[in-house]
Amino acid sequence: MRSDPYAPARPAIRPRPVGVITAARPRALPAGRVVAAAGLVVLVLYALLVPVLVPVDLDRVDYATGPTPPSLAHPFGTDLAGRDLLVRGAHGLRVSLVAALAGATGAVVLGCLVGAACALVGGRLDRWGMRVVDGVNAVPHLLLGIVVAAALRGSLLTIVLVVAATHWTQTARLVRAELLALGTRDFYRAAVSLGLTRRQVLRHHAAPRLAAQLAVALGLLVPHAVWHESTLTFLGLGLPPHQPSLGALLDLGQQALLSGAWWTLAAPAGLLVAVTLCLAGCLAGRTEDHHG
Amino acid sequence: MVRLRFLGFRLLSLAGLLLVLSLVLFLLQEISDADPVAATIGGNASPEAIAAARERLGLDRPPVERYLAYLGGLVTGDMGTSFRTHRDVTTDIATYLPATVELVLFAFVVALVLGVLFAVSSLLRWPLAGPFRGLLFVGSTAPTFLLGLVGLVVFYQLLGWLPASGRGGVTDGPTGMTLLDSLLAGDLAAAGDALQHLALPALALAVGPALAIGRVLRSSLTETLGSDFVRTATSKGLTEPQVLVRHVLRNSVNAALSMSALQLGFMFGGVLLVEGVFTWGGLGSYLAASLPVSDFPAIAGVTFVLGALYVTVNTVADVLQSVADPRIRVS
Repeated sequence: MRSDPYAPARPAIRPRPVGVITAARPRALPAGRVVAAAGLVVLVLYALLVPVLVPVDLDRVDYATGPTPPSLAHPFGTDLAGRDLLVRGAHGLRVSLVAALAGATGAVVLGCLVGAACALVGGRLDRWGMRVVDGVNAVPHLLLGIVVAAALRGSLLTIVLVVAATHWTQTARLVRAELLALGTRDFYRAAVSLGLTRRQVLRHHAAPRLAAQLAVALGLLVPHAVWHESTLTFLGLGLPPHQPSLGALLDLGQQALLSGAWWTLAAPAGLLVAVTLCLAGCLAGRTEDHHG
Repeated sequence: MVRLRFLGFRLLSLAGLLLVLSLVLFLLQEISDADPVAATIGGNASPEAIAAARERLGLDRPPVERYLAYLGGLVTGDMGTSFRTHRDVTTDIATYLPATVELVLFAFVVALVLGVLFAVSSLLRWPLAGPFRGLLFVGSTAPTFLLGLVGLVVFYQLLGWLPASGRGGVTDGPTGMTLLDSLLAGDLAAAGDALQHLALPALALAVGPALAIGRVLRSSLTETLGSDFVRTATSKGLTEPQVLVRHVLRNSVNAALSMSALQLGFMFGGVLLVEGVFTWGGLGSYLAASLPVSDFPAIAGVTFVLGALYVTVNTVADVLQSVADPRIRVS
């Protein structure tokens, strides 16, 4: 929920730097954002590299080993079936990130299309389009997601569809507001009076502004989509058990909890919280509070 | 007059939204590959039995007619028969709803308290405010069910302070809400037991909404405290409580009110997960049991009831907001 949809991504006028030294000095990045970005890089590398470096058959179980607490050989411990959680965590993170990225991208693309169509065509389409947006917003999206997933049965595609189908409305509103606001701006009128065609105005004036906003919208959606993937899978509606996503690992971890194997839960839970925090931290300062 | 029109408009859109919700549920039921006939009479039935079951379930009629029948059923409180329990979905929901409502309402109170603490603590700079806010922030990034699981590990497994599952308290009271029933029966020990069972699930459910409410309240409090009319009110000699209650609070509570309503609505979704973790025995558990067997009447019924609660809560909040801030009615 952005407080002012018309606000530009950056302040239009920057205070002019005083003197050569201040001008030459790069703007300091907040430390938190650097840490978050570094953490995100580490997590992505972990998800990409560990499955390559440690080629283990994911389905092979070793009940003789059973659950062992974290040690040097298994830094995250092993689960009830004796499988190494470092490797499974990497696979899980990978699956979850892919599902989340695809879902968030789908939502942003869909929202972009609807928002642009509403703003550019206007009239009846705009009115009805916005009614649909209100209607989708009026239903709790977790609930809607559960029903959609229940109707379509779990797979990676289902998760992507559910996330896209329930989260496109914010982007649609954003794009529509941005395009409508464009018409009132001086540079737009100047461009039109210079004789630029509609396509040229959209390409050179609207697209760059929108791109920045959409990048932020996408960035905000990804952690939320990770959250949805794990939630749906945890409910047994998401990915099938042989695809170890974070949600599936959490589900197994909950079952193992009763036997005292807390690390089976700690590994995926830590990864989930870490990836959400890092993603949110990278975007901190770019956005207002986001709820939903 | 303006107020009545506003109320009428809100009620009309409420009805419209419920209609849309029922349509979405019906369409999902249509495209789902779950076979209601196989679910009711089994997969190996004879063709005659299948035809009879199709007729009984109304599947031989055209979709529009079936939707109207479904809608008519919803209006009269008939949501079909569960494939799993073979009881009316309405009866099932009536059995499980009080537990869910109790959990959500209790969690909502917890969320409000935590949210106000969050807002006030950032304004007043209490000594433990920083850690409290940090904890709330980290907690709100985790999915609800994960919070529940972490709560289980800490408070049940490590510390042994709180129970892990079930509801406790008086279970066969008139309202179906254990805490309320225990209090009504005057049984303080049972009420304490119910409270202990409520604590962990409610906390898990409340953390996310608390942060959302707290943030909104904080920003509007900051804004109001810095506004000209507060300075005027103070400088014309009103006492601090007068300024706070009459000028600051009324002007700050509005955004927080609508955010609270929104969050209360979200909690009706999040409660499904929390119930799963704590085997709470409410609608969430009912839904969780219905999902693996594609018991669509039950799934659709629970979704409709929770969705209707969400929409209703938001409508009520809109109306309340217009009472608090008359400007909303005009625009």
